[in-house]
Amino acid sequence: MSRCQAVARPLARQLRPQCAIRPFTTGAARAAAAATEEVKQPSALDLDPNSVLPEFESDLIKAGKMPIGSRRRRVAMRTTASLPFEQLPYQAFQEARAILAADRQEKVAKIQEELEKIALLEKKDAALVKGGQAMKDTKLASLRRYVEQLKIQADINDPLVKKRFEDGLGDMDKPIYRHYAERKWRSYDYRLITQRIKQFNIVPDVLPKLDPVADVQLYFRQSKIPPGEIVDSLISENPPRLRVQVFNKGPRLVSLVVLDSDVPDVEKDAFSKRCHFLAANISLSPNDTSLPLSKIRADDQLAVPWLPPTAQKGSPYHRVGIYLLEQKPETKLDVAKLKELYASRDGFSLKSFRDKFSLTPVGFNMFRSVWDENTAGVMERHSVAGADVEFRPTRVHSLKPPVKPRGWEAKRQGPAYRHLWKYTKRIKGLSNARGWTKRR
Amino acid sequence: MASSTSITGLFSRLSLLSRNTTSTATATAAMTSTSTSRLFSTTSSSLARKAPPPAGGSAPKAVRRNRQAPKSENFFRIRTLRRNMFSPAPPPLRMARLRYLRHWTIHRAWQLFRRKQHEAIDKERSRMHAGMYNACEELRKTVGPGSRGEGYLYRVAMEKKGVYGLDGVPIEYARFQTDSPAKEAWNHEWKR
Amino acid sequence: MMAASSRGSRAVRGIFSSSPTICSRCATTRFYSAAAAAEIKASVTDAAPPPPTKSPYPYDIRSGLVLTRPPLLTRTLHPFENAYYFYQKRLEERLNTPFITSIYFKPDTAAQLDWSLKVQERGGTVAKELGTYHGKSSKAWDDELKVGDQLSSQESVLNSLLKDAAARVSDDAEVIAPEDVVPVERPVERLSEADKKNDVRRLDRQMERTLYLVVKGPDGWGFPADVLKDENLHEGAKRVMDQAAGVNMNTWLVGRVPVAHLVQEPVLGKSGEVQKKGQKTFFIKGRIMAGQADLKGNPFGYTDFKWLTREELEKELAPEYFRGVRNMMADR
Repeated sequence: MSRCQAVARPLARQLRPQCAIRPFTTGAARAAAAATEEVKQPSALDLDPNSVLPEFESDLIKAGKMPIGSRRRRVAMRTTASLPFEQLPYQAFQEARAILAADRQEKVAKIQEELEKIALLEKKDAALVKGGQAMKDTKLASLRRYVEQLKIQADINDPLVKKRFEDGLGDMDKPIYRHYAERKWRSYDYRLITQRIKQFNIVPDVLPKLDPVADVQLYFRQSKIPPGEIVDSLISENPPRLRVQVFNKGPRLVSLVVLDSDVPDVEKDAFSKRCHFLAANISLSPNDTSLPLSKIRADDQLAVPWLPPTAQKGSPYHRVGIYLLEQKPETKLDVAKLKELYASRDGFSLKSFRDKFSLTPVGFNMFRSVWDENTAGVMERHSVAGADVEFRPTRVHSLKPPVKPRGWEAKRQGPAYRHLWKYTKRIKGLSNARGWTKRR
Repeated sequence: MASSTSITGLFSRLSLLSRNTTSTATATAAMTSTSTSRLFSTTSSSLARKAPPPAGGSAPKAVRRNRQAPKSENFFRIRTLRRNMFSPAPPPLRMARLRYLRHWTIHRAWQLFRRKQHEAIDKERSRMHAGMYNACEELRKTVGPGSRGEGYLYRVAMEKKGVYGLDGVPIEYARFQTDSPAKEAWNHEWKR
Repeated sequence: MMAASSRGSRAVRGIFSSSPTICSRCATTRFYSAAAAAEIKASVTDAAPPPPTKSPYPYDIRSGLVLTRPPLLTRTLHPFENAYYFYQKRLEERLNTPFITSIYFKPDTAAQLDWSLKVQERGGTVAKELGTYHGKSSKAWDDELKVGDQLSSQESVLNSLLKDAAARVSDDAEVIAPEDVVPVERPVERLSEADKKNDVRRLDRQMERTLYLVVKGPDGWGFPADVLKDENLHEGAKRVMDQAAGVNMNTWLVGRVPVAHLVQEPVLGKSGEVQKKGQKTFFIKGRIMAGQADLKGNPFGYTDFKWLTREELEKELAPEYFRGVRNMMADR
């Protein structure tokens, strides 16, 4: 016993009966509380399995109703179930909302101010603006960009907006939801698609430059295909469905090209490209995202109908890319001309298509196709020739001269080393009695 | 010796010693006490645990009933630490969806609040600096006083000699701001 | 505290008593380097020859002093800050390792008895100002304070700390009866007597804010200023202060650089001759650390003085005057 203990013990012994100091365990208090609770009658809320308190659970279970959810959730349902989220009576939360609301007011006032500036500048004659029409346009564009930015900033701190976006209920016509969606896309899917563009050499092979700004997802028969996956030819027989999410405002017209960039060309001993689908004048906006290829049938849209991608036996995998190209604002392409130009699908060049009609590539996705057991059937059904051909890689011999056998044993095969033959001859797999047999 | 099998090596050696010696029991006791105090603890000898003196001069019994290792003076402290120091850390916070949304709201508001504070401070500082800059610029263009030339006052004002010395700032100026004032908040009666 | 470290001032006194331009009465305010200032004065006097001025400079150069009292108190926290700190403290309760009493208190000591008594009164909560809340219990999720609860306010934090500081167990380990508990002395109110009476002459008013000394002269309210004689700006400012407001102030001139300036253009005649000279006033910033202004016997005709905050100055000063000096004033 330490000295302190020794000193304090008689004191403590004396004190204990008088003042009954008890550390943390409040056994008596707890017992007393339990006693009072037993007297308490269950309220209407306690008969509801959604909000029953722990002490009335057993009654409820006896009555045949199981309590729902955790006890914590039930207490929350009792206290705040009837309140909307933004009115929950928590101090820090409400103070925070006040701060955020004040900030939003500021931003809205600033938007008003900028809009007035834009209106003034629009009315102003270009000759009076320093720098002329070009400067006026630049100024207007930068002011509008700033307003868009402010619109995002006004709403970015709203918890309900965040919640709605996470639930997938966001209205993509509003800048804040588009901002959230783009941030989410850029955080993973964009990186994935740029990786595919790089690793499958889409950029030098098909287009000199490709930086997607729209999210294109690929679905075959309700199942999502990750970019670059090898798809069974039976599955890709039917045209896919695209889910296209654009992140900038307003409707626009796009063209869609599905291109197989690995068609073997035997005569030239090379690969060429083949167009599997071509459509133009497809209207897209942030809010309508579904784009089923099978539904594109109109005369002013469909130029080249869907041809299932097939890979002949023995050919390496075919990269089938789906390219979304934005047309110039409010200019329609002449589909009849497209039909005429690209009726023979072979030798389609996306780069020349882009340049000829002044299009901008905005979205990309891809899958691969290889020869499988269904390919022959698919080719027959769609009368694609070449199912009976099998490609074989030509043997490329090494240009290096053959190398003599090397090593300790090989060096000691000759009669000069007769005394070592018991070590160098008749080694299993290497040599026999006549000498070195190992082929390289 | 029947009992020598049950006692520790130390004591068996001691007992051998005492059996061989023909000295008195007091000498043996003194020896025992010195050896224990050196071995077992560094406390003052009054508090240190003492081995009981051997009963007989030539035949010491198994002197220690309590055979566990001797307790150091820090025994209780160490026991407390050993029991409690390695308690597992509490689990990370887990929040339900709406609770997390509230937390996010509070966090965003706090960041906004801090940013506004910082911006206000920045603005204040640049405003004060601009005021000083303008005043100095005016001073630079000033002629005088008396027969002095243009910019004389400015050159003197820019002189940094002695600014950074030990007497640069008086010690009273290092008073911190506090949450509540002193009993006499301001000394109005200060006399030189 | 009263007697400031007077090594520097003594040195100054020695130097200035030999200098004929400044009286020994004024030689009490410390420059950050009075000796160096004197040196400079001498050297620059030698270096700069009098320029051949044909016409006299059409401005009077005046040197003024903005004497400020820095804030004595920390700022009052925003309600959101209070709520946020409280929120974070309760989250911290949920995340920290439990408080182990036996590490900090030896069993059966007076300190331990005192501690357990207090903790028991708080319902087992270790933290002093968090109300009854257990960060490790099954109800730990219920950590958010409801709207309108005063528990997060500075006042209640102060009260709980004071309550905790009072000794409940005597040195010989006897529990003190509740009526015998000596409460800890409360700290002084942040709002002083001068605030309640709105006494603008006192220096213990508006203790969260910076106060500025303004004097009432023939031209209305303004900072003390005077035309420079053959001296530098900071010397002039110090002379003005000593002559106008007396020497019984423990002050410190922050620098020799002017922090604000006012220019009054000269009135020129038709042929360009000066009818009335203009004024250029440069203000040096000073800090007061003790003492009080005393206008008795000042040579500038100042009749009254006030210690005002920035907002009050805006009302008191002429608009163009305030526009000239407002940039040097801190937000708080």
